[in-house]
Amino acid sequence: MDRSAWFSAAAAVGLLAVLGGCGEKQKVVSGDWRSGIKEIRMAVSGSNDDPRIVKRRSVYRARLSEAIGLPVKLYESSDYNGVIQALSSGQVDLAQMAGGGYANVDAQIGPLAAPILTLRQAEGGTGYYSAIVVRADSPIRTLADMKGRSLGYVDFNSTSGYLVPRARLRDEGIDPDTYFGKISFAGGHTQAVMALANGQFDATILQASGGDPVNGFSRGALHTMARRKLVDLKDFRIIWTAGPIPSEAFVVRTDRPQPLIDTVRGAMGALPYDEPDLWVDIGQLDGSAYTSVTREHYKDVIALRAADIAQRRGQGGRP
Amino acid sequence: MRKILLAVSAIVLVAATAKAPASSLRIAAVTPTPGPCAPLDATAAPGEKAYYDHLAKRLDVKVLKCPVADQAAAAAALAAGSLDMALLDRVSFAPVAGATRAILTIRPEGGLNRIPVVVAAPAAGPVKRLEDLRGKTLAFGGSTPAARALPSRVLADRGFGADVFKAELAAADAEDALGKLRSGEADAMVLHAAAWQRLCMPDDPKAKPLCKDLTVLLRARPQATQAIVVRKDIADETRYRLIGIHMPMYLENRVAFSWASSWAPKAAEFEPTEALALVATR
Repeated sequence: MDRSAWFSAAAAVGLLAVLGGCGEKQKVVSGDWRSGIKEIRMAVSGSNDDPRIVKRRSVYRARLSEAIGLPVKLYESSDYNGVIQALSSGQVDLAQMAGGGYANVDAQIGPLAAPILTLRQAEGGTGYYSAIVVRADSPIRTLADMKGRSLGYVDFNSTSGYLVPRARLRDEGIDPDTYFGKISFAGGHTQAVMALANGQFDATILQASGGDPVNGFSRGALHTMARRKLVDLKDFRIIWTAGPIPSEAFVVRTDRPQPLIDTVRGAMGALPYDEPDLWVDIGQLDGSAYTSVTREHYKDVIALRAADIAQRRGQGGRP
Repeated sequence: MRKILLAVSAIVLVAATAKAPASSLRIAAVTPTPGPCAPLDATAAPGEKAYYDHLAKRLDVKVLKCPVADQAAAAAALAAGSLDMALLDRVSFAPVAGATRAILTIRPEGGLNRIPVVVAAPAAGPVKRLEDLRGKTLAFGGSTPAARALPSRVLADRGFGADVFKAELAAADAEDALGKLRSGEADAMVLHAAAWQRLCMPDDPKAKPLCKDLTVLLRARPQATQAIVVRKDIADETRYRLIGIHMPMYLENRVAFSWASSWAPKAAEFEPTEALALVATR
């Protein structure tokens, strides 16, 4: 190569280098943590019936993928236990789950999983409620009226649909195993509402959120189904509530790289501020935002889960 | 010609190199004796050392302290690219708003998120913009901090203190505030965004649309007084990691958090912010 050609080549290399750098923003972090990681796996539970929930998952996946710089694969489970076992076994890196689900994970793998974020509502609360719901045409008006009646729980692993209401009922002097004439498991909040509407139970226990017992609720299974025109809110009545219950968390495997955990926390924490319209569009309450939590935030739920498991073992394992 | 080519080549190579991952995070520190960026010296306070060590460990880069005379100098250095992160106030941020962005502020103990506030008036009425509310009556959707104190602060941030209005009515709740607007008792309704969403964007499609005849005059968050600011050209990954490290600091490293948040009274936690948190946006 003569000198002239060398100079031309040097200039071309320089130009390519700057073109490659154009538009690339400055990183002030190490990127080595991604070495050997092909994708990030996140578990979520629940049905795909609600378009807003489906969109929320899609938004979360896209945002995390962009933030992390790796593909994010969603593992969708139709029940709570699928998510619990996926995280506990290490098949996924992170999951969204309610406190009861995390308590179950904690019982299995302890500090190998940690909650990192939960929602803080506009009014400052970080919890939601469990509500006993009856049909509006039911003669049942109070918890006292429920004695001997049939009650539908959501799922054994449901925090608001099983764990917390049973504990609060005991606090009120009611043994949930003997007070009701019959108990059943619907398998999910949607199924519980439909079963109630069809007269399969006298009452069911559902999650209620986006408010409180004094100001009313704007989120939860009934509202989701009303939005989908499957039920009319006026056809139901809340007769009892328990809460607030610590809200759902992003739970991560702590044996994953710390930069991954920090990036997930930061990207999700910034979402309502970066994309305020999208935040509302995916069904989140305006003014709510993520706040950091640790295991301590869920210690009461963990204790309830442990107590419930111990009691069931005392009964020969019956739920 | 060769010299020109070499010079161009050198310039573009330097420019390209500047985009490579940096090996240090440069943080502004307001001191009476400005100087070049350098690692913390042995005289650093324990909290300061804890904070710098925390960031260095989590980011896997060196963290340098960059002494500057004041926040205005920090802002200028940030915009010029000789700093990566600085604590700025509203005044120092204003001239560099185009080149920098807020990423974090502080939520005080017992304080609310920086929730948006909505001011709405009948679309067919005479009130078309915020300025038209001077001498008029407002209806607030309750008396809780989220319903009253925070919206008042948002209005005051924009030059609409209580003395600007004829009266401020505290309704029982959002629905009552709407009733006062409908009855003509009030000229505008002021709600926090969640109350607005519950009232005016109901989940139930069978619910009567209550707010279709209203026009939104303002939807904005409270203006932050100070915020941690970075350059806009910083990579999103860096921004997210900085946010993700600061958010749980009050739980993970109290010594570092106490020092890093000492500029904010009764600090509870770092919270993420929108880019223009230091500006009274309209």
